Amino acid sequence: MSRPSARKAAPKGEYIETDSGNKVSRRSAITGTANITLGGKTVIMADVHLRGDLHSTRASTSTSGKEVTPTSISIGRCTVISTGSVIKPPCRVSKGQVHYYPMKIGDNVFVGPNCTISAIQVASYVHVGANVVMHPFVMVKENVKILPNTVIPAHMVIPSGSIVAGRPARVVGEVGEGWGGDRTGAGGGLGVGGGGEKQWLEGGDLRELVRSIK
Amino acid sequence: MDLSQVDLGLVEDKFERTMREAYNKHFLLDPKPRRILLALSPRMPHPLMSTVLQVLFSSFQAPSITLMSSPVLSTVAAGLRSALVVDIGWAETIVTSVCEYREIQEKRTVRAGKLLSREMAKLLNAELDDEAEPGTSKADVSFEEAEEVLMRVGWCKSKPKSNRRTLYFPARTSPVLEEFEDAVELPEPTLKIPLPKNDPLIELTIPFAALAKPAEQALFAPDTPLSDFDDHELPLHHLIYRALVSLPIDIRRLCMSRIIITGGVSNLPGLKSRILAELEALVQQRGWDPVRSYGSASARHEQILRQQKDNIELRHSEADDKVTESLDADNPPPPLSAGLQDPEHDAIDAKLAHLALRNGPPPECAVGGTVRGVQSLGAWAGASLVSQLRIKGIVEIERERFLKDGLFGASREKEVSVVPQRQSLGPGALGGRGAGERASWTLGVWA
Amino acid sequence: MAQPFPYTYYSCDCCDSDATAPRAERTSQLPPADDEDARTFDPRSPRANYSLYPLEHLLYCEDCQQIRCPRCVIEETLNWYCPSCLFEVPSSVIKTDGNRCTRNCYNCPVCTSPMTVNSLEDPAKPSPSGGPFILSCPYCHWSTVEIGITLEKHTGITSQLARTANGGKYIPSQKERDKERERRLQLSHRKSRDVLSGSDDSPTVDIDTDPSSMSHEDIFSNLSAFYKSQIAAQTPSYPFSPGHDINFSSPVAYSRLMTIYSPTTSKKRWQEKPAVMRESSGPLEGLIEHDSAADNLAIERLKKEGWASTLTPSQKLAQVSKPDTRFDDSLRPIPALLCTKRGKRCRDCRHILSKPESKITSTRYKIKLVAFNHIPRLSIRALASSPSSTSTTPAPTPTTPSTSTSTSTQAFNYNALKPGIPIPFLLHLLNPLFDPIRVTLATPKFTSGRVQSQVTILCPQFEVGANTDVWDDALTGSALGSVKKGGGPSGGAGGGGGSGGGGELEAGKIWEKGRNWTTVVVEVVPGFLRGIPGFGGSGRSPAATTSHGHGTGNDDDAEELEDAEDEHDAVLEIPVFVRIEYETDAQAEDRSLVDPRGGKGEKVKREEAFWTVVGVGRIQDV
Repeated sequence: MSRPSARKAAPKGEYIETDSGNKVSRRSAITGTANITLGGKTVIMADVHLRGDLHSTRASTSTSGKEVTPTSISIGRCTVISTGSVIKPPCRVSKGQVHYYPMKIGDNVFVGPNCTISAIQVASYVHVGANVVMHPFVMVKENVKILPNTVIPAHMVIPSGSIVAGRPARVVGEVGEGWGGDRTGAGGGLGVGGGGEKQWLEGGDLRELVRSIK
Repeated sequence: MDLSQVDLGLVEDKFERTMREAYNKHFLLDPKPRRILLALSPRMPHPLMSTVLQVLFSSFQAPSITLMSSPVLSTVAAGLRSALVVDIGWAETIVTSVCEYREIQEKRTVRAGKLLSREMAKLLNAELDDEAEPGTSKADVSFEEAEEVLMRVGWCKSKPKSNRRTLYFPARTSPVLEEFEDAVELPEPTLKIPLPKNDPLIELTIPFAALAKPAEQALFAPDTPLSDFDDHELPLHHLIYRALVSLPIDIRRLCMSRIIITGGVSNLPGLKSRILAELEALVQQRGWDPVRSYGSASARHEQILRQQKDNIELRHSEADDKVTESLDADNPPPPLSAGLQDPEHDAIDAKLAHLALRNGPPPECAVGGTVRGVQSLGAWAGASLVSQLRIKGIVEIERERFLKDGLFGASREKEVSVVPQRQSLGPGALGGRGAGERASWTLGVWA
Repeated sequence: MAQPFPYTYYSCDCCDSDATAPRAERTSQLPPADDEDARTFDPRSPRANYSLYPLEHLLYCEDCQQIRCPRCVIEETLNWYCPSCLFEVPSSVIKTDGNRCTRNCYNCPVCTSPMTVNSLEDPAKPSPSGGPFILSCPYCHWSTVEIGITLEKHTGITSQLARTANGGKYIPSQKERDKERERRLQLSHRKSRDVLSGSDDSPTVDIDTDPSSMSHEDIFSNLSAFYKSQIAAQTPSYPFSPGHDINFSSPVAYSRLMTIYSPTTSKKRWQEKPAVMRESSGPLEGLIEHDSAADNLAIERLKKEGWASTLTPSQKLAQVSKPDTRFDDSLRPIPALLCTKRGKRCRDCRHILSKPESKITSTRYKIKLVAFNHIPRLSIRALASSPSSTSTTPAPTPTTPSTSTSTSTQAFNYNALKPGIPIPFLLHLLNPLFDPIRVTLATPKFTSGRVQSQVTILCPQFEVGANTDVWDDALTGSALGSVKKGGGPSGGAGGGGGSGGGGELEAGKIWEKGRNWTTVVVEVVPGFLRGIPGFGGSGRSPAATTSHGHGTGNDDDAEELEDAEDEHDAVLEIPVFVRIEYETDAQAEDRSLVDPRGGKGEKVKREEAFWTVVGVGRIQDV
C-alpha cells in the first residue's frame, strides 16, 4: 500500500506513476491525499475527484495519544477510475453532526467516465458504466455489472453476479458463469497485444488495461 | 385460433424463456422437478399445446402435467359448481357455461381487450390532434401509453337510462350510481394525463366522461343496430344473452344467477355492473325466446311480454327479497302461481323441509333464475385450490409417455374422459382416491 | 440489454432440433460441413434472438463436446438468499413463508428501490425505543406515513406490517381469522337450524363481514377451508369429522350408495338431490356476489382524484397478492424477492457444468466449465486508419461505447457507419486451447434483411497458435511472439500496445498474429437504409422486403412494427460461421466420443463448429 503522495518524479506525461505502479493523472483533483490508499497498478484518470478530506472524525478523536490517520478512501489493485468521476465517501447526519464513513473499492474495478460514487463498498471485479450515480451507503458485491446511466438509491445492496440498470437501479439480470473471462492471470486467456480496445474484458483482470494506459 | 401464421418455434423460444425466468426469479423452486397443473382454454389448438407441453417436459423436467380448463377453474375459484364464465381476455371474450364442473357450451366474440386498447388509442389521438396546432404531424400514441391510460383511468358508464327501447325494470343499481348519472356537473370534470413518451412531455386534458367511451364502443357498441353485427363481433351483453338462451332451461336457471366475469379487462371500474345491468334489461325485454322478430305476430308477442313483465312486477312488489322463480318464457307461470300463494301447511312437507335444511345445503345454494354476478378469484387461484386439495385431474399427461408419442399417444375416445372427470371432482376422487394408475391417458375436452 | 457496439454473440444450436422431436435424437453431433451447406444463420430471423448469447453465458459440456447455453442446461437450486440483507433462507422457510424476505427488507411500491427504516422520534420528548419508526424510500421519498402506518420497533418489520392494515388498523393473524371464521360459520349454522320457517333471510346478515373489504387472501382461505370441509364431510376416512353429523339418512351416504350400484345415475343425481358437494353459500365460504357499489366508488374516486392517485401497471403488478389494487392509498411496501444460487447440468448427459460454492458470500465455483476455455473468442473492432482525434480523454458523449477508454480508436463511431463506403474491420480470434487450431471462417456475401451490406473476409482460413504458458513465450523469445505482418512492435510476452498500423489490406493474408491469437481483416460495405435509384446491389432489394414480414404473422400488428423495423434495419450484424480443427492428446474418457477419422494414435483430431453474430455497428442514415 502506498500513498499517492509518495510520487516518484516521472518524466513529463499524462500520468504520474508511483512505486507500486499506480498511475495518477496530473489533471486529477485529489484532496486529503493522506487519507487515501491505492493498492497498486491503479489508474486515476484526468478530472477525477477523490475526496479524501471527508474522513471519519470520530475515529481520530477516540484514539489516545498516538495520531492515527483515518482512511477515507481505499482503492484496491488494478482499478481504473475514468475521467470526470467523483469519489466521495458517504456521510450521515446523526444528532446534528455530519459523519463520514470510509469507502472501500476493491480490485479490478472499472469505473466509467463521469460517475459519482458515494458507496460504502464496491467489491472486486465490478464494472461500472458511464454516468452512473451511486448514492450514499450503496454496497456493491463482487462480479457486478452496472450499465451506463444507472442511479443506485441510497443503502441499496447489490448481490454478487448481478447486472444492474435503471433509475432507480434494479437487478435486471445475472452475469454468466464466464463473466470476466479467465482471471488466472498471466495473460493466459486474454489476447495479449491484440491491439485496440478488446484486450481486456468487463469484469475481468484489468492488468492489461492498466498497462496500456500511458 | 389461427396458427397458420405463427412460427411455433418462436412460440417455443418465447415460452421457454418466460418459463425459465419464472422458475428462476419467482418460483424459486428446489431442484426436485414438480408436477404441473396447467389452466388452459378448452379450445387450445393441439400444435400449440404440444409445443407448451414439450417445453415443460423437456426443459423443466416436469414428471407429469395435469390439464384443467380455465372456465371450470374460475368456477371453482368462485365456490360454485355451475356458472356462466365470461372471460374478457385480450383477443376475444369467451362465454362458457359450466354446469357441475363441465363445460356445456362456449361462445366468443372479438370484443375484448385488444379492441378496447385500440379504441382508447383512437380517443387519445383524436384529443391530441385537437390540442395540437394545425400543421403538426398526426398524433400517434404508443401501445403502452394507450394501455396505461386504459388501466389507470379507463372506466365504464352505467347503463344509460335514456334508452327507451328497453322496458322499464326495477332498478337494482345502487343509489350512488343514479346520483352519478343524473347530476349534471359544471364545469365538466376533466382529467390531466401526462404522456411521457412525447418530448417535451405533453399533458393532455381530457373530459372524464370521454374516458368511458372506449369501453362503450369496444364492448357494447350501442350505436350499431344488432343486425349489423357479424357472429364473431357481438356486443358482450348480447353474446351472454345468446349463450343463456341456447342453454337448456334447467342449466340456464343455474347459470344466469352465477355469472362470473373474469379476465384482464373485467377489472375496468363499472364494467361488471354494466354488463349485468344490460343483460338484465335484455332478459326483461325479450324473455327467453330465441325468436327475435315475429313479423306480423309481433304485437301478440309484445303482449305476452307485457303480461310477463306485469307478473314480475307483481311478484317483486309482493315479495321483494324473495328468491325469484325462473323467468323462463317457455312456461310462463299463471298470474298467481303456487309460489305466490300462501302454501298450505302440510306436516310432512314441513318435516321434509326441516330435514332438507338440516342435511342439505343452505338455501342460498339453490339460487336460480335471477341475473346475479359472482366474483371469482380467477382460473389460476382455482388451480391453486384444486392442487391444494390434491384433486387428481382427468387429463394427466406423464412425461415418459408424452416424450414417446407426443399428443398422439392420447386415447382418442372422448368417452373415457367423461366418467373419471365427473368423479374427479365428485366425492370419490376428492378424497384423493383418484382413478389410480391409468393404462391410457386422454386429452378430455382437449381431444 | 443493449450491448454497445461492437459485440459478438455465439449461437447455440440446441433449438434447431424440431420442436416435436425428442431431444435425445440430437446427441450425435452433426458433421459441421453439412451444417454449413444446409443454411446460413440469419441474425434477423425472429428466432435468432433466442439462440444467441454472449460468450460469458455459455458453458461447455466436455462429455458431449458441445456448447451449452442457458436453455439447454438443467438448473438446480442450491440455496436461497435475500439480495438485500444477504442472509441465507433455509428451504423449510421457503416452503412455509414463500419467496419473499421475512426479515426487514422491503422495496418501495412506487419506485422499487429498497426502503430504509427511519425514526420519527420527536426530539422534544424522546421515547425509550427511539420510535415510532417508518419505512421510507430514499429515492422517491415515499414512506409508510402516506398509508398511515408507523412501526413501534425498527426490527421485525414483516411481523409488524402483517399486523397493521393501511391506516393503522389492526389485522388479526391468519390463525385468529381462521378461528373467527369457524365461530361465525357455526353461529350461522345454528341460526339457520333454529329459524326453519324463515329460511329466506341470509344466515350471514348479522355478521359484519363486508364482502368488499375482504382481501383476496381472505377469500382464498375461506374457499379453501370450505372445500376442505366439504371433502372431509364426504370422505369415509373421516366419518366423524367435526361439525357434520353423518348418518344413513343423509343424502351424502345415499348418493354414495347410488354411485356404487349404478354409476350412470350420477348424471341425474344433482337434479333430484342436493349436489354431492354443495356450492358455497356466503362470503364466509368464499362466495362473493358482485356489488356495483364498489365499482361506483372507484369511478367516483377516479373522477375526483384523477391520474395522480392511480397506479402504473408495473406498480400494480408488483403488489403482492393484491391484483386489484387501483389507488395509491392501498399500496403496501413490497417484501424483497429472494434469489437463488443455482448449479447447472447438461441436459443430455446430466453432468454438472457449473456448481457454485454454497456459501452466500463466496463467489467461487466448485465446478465451472465455461465455453471460453474451449472455443475461440472472437472480437471485432474497426481498423480506424485515420483517427481524427488523438485526445486521450474519452469523449463524454453517450454515443461513445463505454469500453472505448483505451486510446487508439476513440474516433471511430460505431453508431454511424457510412453506407456505401468499404470499412475495414479487424476480426480477432483468441485460442484458449493448449493446441494450435486451424480456423475456417465463413460469412454470407450479403447480410440478410432489407439493408444488404457486403461482407468480405480477406483471409478466411488461418491458424491460431496454442495457448501455451506465457512464460514459455517469454523464454523462447520473439520467435513465437507477436509477429506483425507489417513489422510493427513485436510485443513479446505482453505486447499490449499493438497500435494497429502497418498491416496491409491484402486478400489471403492475415493481418496480425500473436502467441495464441490471430487477427484478420473483414471488409464491410454497409448498405443504404433507403434504396437509392440507379445504385444496384447494396440498396434495398425488393426480394428482401417480402421476407421480413415472415413470422410477424398478424397483419394488425404490422403497422406498429414498421417503425421498429427501420430502427432494426440500421443495425449491421454479420453472421460468421466458425469452424476449428485441432489435434489434441486423447484422454481416456474421450476415446469413445472421438471422431473416427482421428485414428487410434496418441493425437486425436477434433473439430468444433458454431455460428456467431458480430454486431458491427449502426448504419448512418444519409
